Amino acid sequence: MNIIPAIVAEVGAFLIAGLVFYGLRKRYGWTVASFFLLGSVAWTTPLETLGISTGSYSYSTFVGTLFPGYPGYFVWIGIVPLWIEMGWFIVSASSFMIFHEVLLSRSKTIAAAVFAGLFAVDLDLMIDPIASSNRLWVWIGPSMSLMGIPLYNYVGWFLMIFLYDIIVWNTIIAFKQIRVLSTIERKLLRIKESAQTVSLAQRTRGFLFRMLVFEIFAIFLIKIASVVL
Amino acid sequence: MTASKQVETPEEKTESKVIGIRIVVAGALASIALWIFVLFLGSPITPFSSPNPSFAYAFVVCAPAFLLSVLAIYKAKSPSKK
Repeated sequence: MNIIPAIVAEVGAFLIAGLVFYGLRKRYGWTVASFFLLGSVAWTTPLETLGISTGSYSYSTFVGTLFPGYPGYFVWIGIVPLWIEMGWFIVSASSFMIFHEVLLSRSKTIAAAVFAGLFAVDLDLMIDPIASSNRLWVWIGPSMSLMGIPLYNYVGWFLMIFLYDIIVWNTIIAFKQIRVLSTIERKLLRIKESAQTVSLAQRTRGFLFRMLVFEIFAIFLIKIASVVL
Repeated sequence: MTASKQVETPEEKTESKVIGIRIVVAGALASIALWIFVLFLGSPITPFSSPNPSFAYAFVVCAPAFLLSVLAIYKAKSPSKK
């Protein structure tokens, strides 16, 4: 079995993620860059873990191929190879930058998030068939598909990038109220609606809370998509 | 001998931020290049052949993302000038 594409993809993803982190640090500073990177890992790991544990796909093609006991990839978080999260980080950060910072005005928050989601889907239309045919990951189970990739996967890509974009813009870049969550955040996290400057601790709590709420919402919608499609 | 501390001027800070934007966007282009390379490594024209989508499919599908990334790198400028 050809393991070379898998090694190249894993090492390449870490190198590019390092480059993107460096660019984020130059633009926004250490705090925002770190939030963006660690947030990407925290945002995608639960969904990936759920996908693997429910048997939607597998990353175990190359287990034991490089040397005895080789786990299939070099670095893992639980049952998810870390380079997968790095891939999400690269796509979310670059699509965020393209639409929020360059191509659209800063006031068009939702439009920028929608375009970021579509940009990510476009990239994945290339990534997933290449990865799947080289068995970097393997889709399992019947589903409506395009080039062998289930259609609900693309729904998932759009939702995850779209929602993470909104969270980052309204929490990390500048803390803004998200209307549907503002009442709970005022009571639970003690973040006042009028607060222009929130402490790092409040921002961290808000970031984690918003990721938790939006993650549950995204998983619910992706589950519906996987049943319908 | 005294060590002089270098302080960034506002212009240098702005330039640094623009470079940061361009680097992050370049990450998308690097990602596209990486996956095209993975496709090459797994294609029948290399010694490591396996079934793959065609190069034509990959190039056509990623063209919008590629063009938008190139446009963004070209158009990137100071956030204060937007």
